[in-house]
Amino acid sequence: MIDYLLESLAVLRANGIRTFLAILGLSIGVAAIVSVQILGYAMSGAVSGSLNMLSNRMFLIQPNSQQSNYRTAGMTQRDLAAVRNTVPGVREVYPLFFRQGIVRLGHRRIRLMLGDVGNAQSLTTPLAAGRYFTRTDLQERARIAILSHNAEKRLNPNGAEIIGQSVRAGAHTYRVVGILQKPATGIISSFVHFTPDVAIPYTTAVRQYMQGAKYYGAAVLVHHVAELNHAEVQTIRLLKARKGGKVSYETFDRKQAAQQLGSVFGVLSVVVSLIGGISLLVAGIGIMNILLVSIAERTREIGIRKAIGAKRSQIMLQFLIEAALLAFGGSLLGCIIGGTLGAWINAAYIIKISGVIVPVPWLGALELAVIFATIVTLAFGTYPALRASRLNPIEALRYE
Amino acid sequence: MNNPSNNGVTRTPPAIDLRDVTKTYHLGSLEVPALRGVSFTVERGEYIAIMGPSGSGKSTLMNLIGCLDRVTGGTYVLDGIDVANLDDNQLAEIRLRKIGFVFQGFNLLARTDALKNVCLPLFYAGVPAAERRRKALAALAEVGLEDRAHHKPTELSGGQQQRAAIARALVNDPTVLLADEPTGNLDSKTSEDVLALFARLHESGRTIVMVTHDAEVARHAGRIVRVRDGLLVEEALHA
Ligand SMILES: Nc1ncnc2c1ncn2[C@@H]1O[C@H](COP(=O)(O)OP(=O)(O)O)[C@@H](O)[C@H]1O
Ligand SMILES: [Mg+2]
Repeated sequence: MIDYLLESLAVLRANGIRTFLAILGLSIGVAAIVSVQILGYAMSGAVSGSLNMLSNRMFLIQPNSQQSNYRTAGMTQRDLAAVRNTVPGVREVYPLFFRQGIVRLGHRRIRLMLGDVGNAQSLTTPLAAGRYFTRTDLQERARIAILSHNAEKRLNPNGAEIIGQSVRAGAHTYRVVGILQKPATGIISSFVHFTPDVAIPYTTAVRQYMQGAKYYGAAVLVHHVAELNHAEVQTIRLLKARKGGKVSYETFDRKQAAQQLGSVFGVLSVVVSLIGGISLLVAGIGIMNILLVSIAERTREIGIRKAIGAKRSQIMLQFLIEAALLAFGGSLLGCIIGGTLGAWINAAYIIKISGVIVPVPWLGALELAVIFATIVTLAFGTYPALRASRLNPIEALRYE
Repeated sequence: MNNPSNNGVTRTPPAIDLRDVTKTYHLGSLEVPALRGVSFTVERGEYIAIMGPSGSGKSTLMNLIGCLDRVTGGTYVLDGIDVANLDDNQLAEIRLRKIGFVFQGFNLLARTDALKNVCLPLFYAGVPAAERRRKALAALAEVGLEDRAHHKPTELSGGQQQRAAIARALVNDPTVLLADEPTGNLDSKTSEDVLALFARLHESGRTIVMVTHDAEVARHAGRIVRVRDGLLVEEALHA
């Protein structure tokens, strides 16, 4: 066995450039697949990590946007009050409000997102300083705000004391009572629930911006996770009944978000895996080609070996080992390239974006490489090896 | 021992026993009869030269004797084994154990030194590495090439290459040594060396079958067999 190995190594070394190209081709395919696997792993880890930071006691409700009477389905203050008062388990209901605008602190003017929140549970990031809105704040429609980390940095770049100061947005003024920590979950969590830069109590938002308006989105907070699904069903049923049954609503919660994100990443990784698979196929054909060329060049040698008494299986083994060396060389190189690439993207982007540290599964990548190498060896090495083993020794010996 | 058939009765079977052997090649629908009924016996320890004009069927005969090919008709018993109907694997095994080939063009593996070349048949026979080395060095010594063991074929003269090839042919201790024009690529001086080696091997009891078109070369053999148009035309006993 060692002799076969040494023999194959000598042959491959003698054809250095060809060997290198074959290995490189395969390693690119393997690298693509390995890096996608690592990224998929890191992303799903990041997604579930991010989602864990969101309240699992909240769902969003909105009119189904596909229906023709979308406008009639708009929710009034009374509708929301009915949900809050009659749907079992519901603790708080508030309409969603978001508006881009210039926010001023002193003479600094920054374009930021103003939005409303119900209470502490609807803010997904912990406080860095100050306090949350209290029940009294909500009741009194206090003109106060909690700033996001981003808003605080941009409005207050010098780092002066900002709690107690006032920010202006349009015609309104809010006293800053709290500052949030840097969000651990930026882009991914924003897909699930947007945290405004300047958060004001929802009661204040209703008074100042949504007086008498219809709402096309609301957040519902329940007391216990176990009540969430039931509350979703009941809320939809109640709102439908209040609109005479001619409209439809849809809800959105963490579980659904996870599913949607999962399917997005699923599609993504299928696409990239497909590309990797195709390049793997091309690389495999490349390896098959190099083996066929090698066999053609060594026809006479094969003839000599057979004349001396080599069996078919012995000739076959020799070329399979050559294929395996190429396949394992390429796959391991691909594993290293793909793993490094995946680890780098994970560190540079995914961890930065999500704040969730998912370690790179090197062992899994290695396993993958070994599996690919074996498949490539058998799928693309068998035919050339078989061909070599079946050469007629008399004709092979005559070959120049 | 050199000629056990002299007394007419032998305990051991002949090395080679061909009866009414035919070989027909098929070129598409065309049938080419290369051998048309050859009966031919080689006793153990005999040294035989096969002669004949080009295209007469000498190489075809050698390929059959060497188990590189199968007879179309007739029987072939090699060292007591009926090899006429063996499958590829069995034929390879016969070539490995019973046949030693020497070719006109030496046919050493180019990238491999003399020792490794000689090791090859032992390798395919599953001999362990240490023993392979020992036996291969002994075979090289037998042909007077022990000091060239680590030379590649390109670093050897034609005569030395052929001697290395002979060592490789002998290393598994075969029943017969088959040589197809072994001196065809050599000058007359090195030809003499190789023929002297054959003579020595013959004296030590080896069975040798050699194809040549050169009467001078054939004279070294104990018996000459002539092939013409796929038939044996004459058997001139000469020693
Ligand atoms: N593989 C083959 N296919 C068809 N015809 C062949 C083949 N090998 C040899 N022949 C034919 O068989 C005859 C004998 O050839 P060969 O044994 O090579 O003769 P020699 O070695 O005496 O020159 C020739 O007519 C040759 O053309
Ligand atoms: Mg010939």
